[in-house]
Amino acid sequence: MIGLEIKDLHVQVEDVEILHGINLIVPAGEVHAIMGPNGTGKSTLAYTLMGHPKYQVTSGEVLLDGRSILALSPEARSHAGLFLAFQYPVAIPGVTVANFLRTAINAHRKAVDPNYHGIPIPEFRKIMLEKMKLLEMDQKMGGRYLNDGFSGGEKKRVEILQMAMLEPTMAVLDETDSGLDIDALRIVSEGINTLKSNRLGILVITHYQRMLNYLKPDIVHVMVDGKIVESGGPELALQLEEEGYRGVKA
Amino acid sequence: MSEQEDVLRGIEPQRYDFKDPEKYVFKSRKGLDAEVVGQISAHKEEPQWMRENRLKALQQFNAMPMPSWGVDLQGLDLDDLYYYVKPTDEIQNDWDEIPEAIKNTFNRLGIPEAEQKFLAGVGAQYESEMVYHNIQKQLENQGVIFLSIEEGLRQHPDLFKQYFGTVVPFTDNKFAALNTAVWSGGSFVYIPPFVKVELPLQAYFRLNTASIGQFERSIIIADEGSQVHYVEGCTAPQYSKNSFHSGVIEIIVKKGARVRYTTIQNWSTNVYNLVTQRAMVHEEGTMEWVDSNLGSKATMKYPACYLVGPHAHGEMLSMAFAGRGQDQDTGGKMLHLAEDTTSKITSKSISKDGGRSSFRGLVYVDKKAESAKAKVVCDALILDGKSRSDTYPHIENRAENVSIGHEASVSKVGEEQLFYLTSRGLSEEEATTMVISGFIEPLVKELPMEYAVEMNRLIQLQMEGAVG
Amino acid sequence: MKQTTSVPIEASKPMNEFSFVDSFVPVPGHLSFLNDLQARALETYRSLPFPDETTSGWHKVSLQGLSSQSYHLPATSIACEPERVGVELATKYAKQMLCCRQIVSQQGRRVNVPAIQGTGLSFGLSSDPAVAFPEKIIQKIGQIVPAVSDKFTAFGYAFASTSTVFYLAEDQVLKAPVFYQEIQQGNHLAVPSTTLIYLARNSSATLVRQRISDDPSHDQFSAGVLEVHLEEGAHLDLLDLNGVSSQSWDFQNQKVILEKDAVLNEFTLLHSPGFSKYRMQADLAGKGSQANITGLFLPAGKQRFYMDTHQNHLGENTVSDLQYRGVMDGESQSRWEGMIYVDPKALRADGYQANHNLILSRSAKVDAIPGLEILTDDVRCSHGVTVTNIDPEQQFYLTSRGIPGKEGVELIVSGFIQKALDRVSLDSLRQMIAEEFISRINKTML
Repeated sequence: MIGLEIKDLHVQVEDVEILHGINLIVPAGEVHAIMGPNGTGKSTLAYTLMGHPKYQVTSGEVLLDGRSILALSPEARSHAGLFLAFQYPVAIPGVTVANFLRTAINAHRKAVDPNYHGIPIPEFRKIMLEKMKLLEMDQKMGGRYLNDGFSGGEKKRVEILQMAMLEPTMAVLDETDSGLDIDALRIVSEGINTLKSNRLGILVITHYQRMLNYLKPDIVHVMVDGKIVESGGPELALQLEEEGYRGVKA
Repeated sequence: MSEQEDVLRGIEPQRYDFKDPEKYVFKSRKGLDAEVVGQISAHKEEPQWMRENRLKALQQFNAMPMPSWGVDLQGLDLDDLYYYVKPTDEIQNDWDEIPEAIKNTFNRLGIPEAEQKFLAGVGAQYESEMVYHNIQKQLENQGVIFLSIEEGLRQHPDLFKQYFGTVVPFTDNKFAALNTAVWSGGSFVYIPPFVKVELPLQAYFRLNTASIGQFERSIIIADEGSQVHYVEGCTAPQYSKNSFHSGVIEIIVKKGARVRYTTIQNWSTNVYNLVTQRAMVHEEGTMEWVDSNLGSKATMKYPACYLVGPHAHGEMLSMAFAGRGQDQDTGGKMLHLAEDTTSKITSKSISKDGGRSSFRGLVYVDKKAESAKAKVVCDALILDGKSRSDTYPHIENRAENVSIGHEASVSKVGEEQLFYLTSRGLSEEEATTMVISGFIEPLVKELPMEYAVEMNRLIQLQMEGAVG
Repeated sequence: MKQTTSVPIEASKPMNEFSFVDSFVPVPGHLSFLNDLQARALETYRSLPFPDETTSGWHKVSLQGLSSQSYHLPATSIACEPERVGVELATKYAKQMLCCRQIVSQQGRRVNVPAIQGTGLSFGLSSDPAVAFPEKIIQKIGQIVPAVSDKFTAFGYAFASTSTVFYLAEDQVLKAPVFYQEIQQGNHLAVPSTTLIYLARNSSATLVRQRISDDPSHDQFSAGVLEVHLEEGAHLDLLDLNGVSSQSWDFQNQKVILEKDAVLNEFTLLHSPGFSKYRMQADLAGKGSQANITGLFLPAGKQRFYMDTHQNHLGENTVSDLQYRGVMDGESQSRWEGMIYVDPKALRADGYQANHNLILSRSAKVDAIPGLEILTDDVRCSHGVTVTNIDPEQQFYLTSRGIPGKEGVELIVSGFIQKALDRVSLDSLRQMIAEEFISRINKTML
């Protein structure tokens, strides 16, 4: 199947099991949300999908477009179409956003065609400026050092800018709404909406309803203590907003 | 800057690693004594005082012990070197007049092309002698002097004698003594008052013969309110026998003048590089050293600013890359000898494949240097468990009203940074290279565009195959 | 044009040997191990030259003015007074402190032992047959800091004839701090000393060691060794207060060995000696061991302080954090040389050193030489050094709030010093140092 399939995924961090058998399917073209209280394993799931070495998969399977990705390096997962918008993107001082993006695009294209010579500068600039406009970003952002001294909102916008430029088929957004004020939330969400297509699956990780108001998920999953405990339509998110997680069966 | 990368595609290691057949007009026998020094002096047809000066310096050299600190000099056999190799009879200001083989060398290195594109003047040294020296006509008309050091002595004997050996006396250290005894080649630069030379002057140093010693000597005098940027580049082919480069650079920055001296040292890894570079900076003058050491087997080099006039400013940007078998012992010295002087040293070093990089710095604030301000920042990256990084800054203060700050850190490339970059599709090698280019960015951005591109490219070459 | 920048080196005359050396004959004690140690150390001492400029670790240290001919040794006799002594200072700041004292004079050494029954602590002189230390502890003496380190280290072992030993047995936790005072009594006294602090597995103690002269006008010479061994999981808070007279010459060599998960918190106050050469080394040998090292040095007048510190990371996951702060006044000279060494085996080592200097006088000289030697990549090491004078902006702010200049300076200086005091964990001891030493020094300095 086209999309993301997670089957009975168990994950440990430093010998402590955090995820106790996650089952989840996000078909291409759909938007899914995972909600749940703090410390429940949501970010663990995001990092595990991307292949962070700290997270050990002890059993289970993750398929992207029908292909297992657990043995792949993070870059190979990226080349395969997976994208993670980090909750806390790290700074790479001295490397400009533009330089970084161009290098990433070239790496993606070289993965397909080893003889690829690199994206011509004018073409690259054109795409970058286009996408920046979409996210109402200042052009100067391209010349700043990646995430170095960025505000919370700037970091999140640059994450989505990367998503826009790398054109993934499966995007995991880890609390992209945190640290955004109302305007920034609207801009970032609308930016994500323009990227929606029947080729792209999106998995949104969040605490709150407010970003979902824009992204309009097809399915909402509730995660508690390392397990998906309930799945339902968009109304489930509204119910959680009103009643909290106490009403959800543990 | 990235737009330029395509232009310089093709800078490959083999671009430097080619050998010409040996052809020379004169080659001294191996080893060093008064006779060899006499031969060098005779070939240069120089005045008596210089000949005597050389012989005095030779005595000093023989009397001084080898340095007991810094790099391992065991592999440097001073008796197994040719101290003087004269490639041609005459120096030219037209590439077409230069013997074909030598001209081809510099063509392959891209020097004539660069001269046309972005340089105000070029000097090119091959073995022991400058073979080419040329400057834009309009600068010459403004009184700018840019000559080989020998022509400087011949054409401007008084100016030469006034400054030679005043910034770096031959008693300074063993290798300054050696250089004073056998110096050959280098540039003589004088910028008249208030003349600003906008484009860089470049000197290019090339070693071709094996087991050779190159001892260039340069004097740069920036008169009141003037401005100049001097760039030196160095390459040599790889031989199994060791070669030796030991230059002395003396710079005089007069009142309100501004001099920048940029080195891109990319000697092959059989070259010992022991260099003394020093600037005397007068009132309100500014001296900037931009020093990047990528090549050589072992380098010992600590460019210095003697801030002798009030409000003089010294700046040092140092970058060292120590790979397999390399020992980069570099740093900088700032001596605050007058009030309100300021200085800043920024050092970035990278060690990999068992290489060793050491930062050695000195900030000395004299009693007279009231209100001096000095800052030293050293950062080192170690890329694997076999490599080594040392930091030895010295801070000596004799004044009351001062502000001196020093910071240093040693780290490896952060795992979180690598994960972030690989999650965007970069290979580990690309990601590491990217972190490193970000690490040295503060230095690279100070280089003229063309050199910045070359530098990034060189770093990429050094990094290839760095990650398993 | 020529500039002279190097500091002229004073032409130094060769030092004369101490007058008692030739005729010195050790008096054998009841432990043959220590007799042998002393005999070897005496030989070492006689064979070593006085250190000069070229001796490693002694760069720029001048011994000029040390009149070795004028000193005499204490007698070898020892006396032990097993009753409790109250050290005034200690009792003022903490109840139930365990107080002990050693007086060294021409007549010999006199020791007061605190009431330590039931605490697990053994304290006494190694040559005293009445105190029975485990043999393995006694055999540590001279093994941590070797006598061959330099002539002044050898001096301690060669002439002390006895060692002061603190030994805390396994799993013992001393709730009350131990306050140990060492008094040097008499003019022209030479004081050789060796001290061993040994904490067995999982034991924990706080030890304050104060060294003072009986009279601030007495000229004394002291050369000593402090050896510290912390077994697995041991925890030592050590406060070392150097208060010998301003006429004195003081040479101290200290080394701490930390086994797995051992913790050292050390605070050194150096304020009164006329001349001090102080070496401190922490060997973080065991995995996960940790050393927090603080130094506060306050040279004024013509005082000369030479300090060198070594943080040696030898085991995995070791952590060291060193902070030396100095306030320099008068024509004082001070020099701190620090090194963080990371062994190839010391993976994930985390080392830090900082040296902050506040200069109050234009005649004061200060050198700061931090250093890093890192032989592996999986580390985090850094250092920072500052040399500043009183910030006029700070001073202006204080005056604008009605605080006059001199008081303002005092406030700024005390704030600067406070940053070092903050690293003393015990409130009572922090208060003691602040009130008894700092406030007095502050007044004489300004």
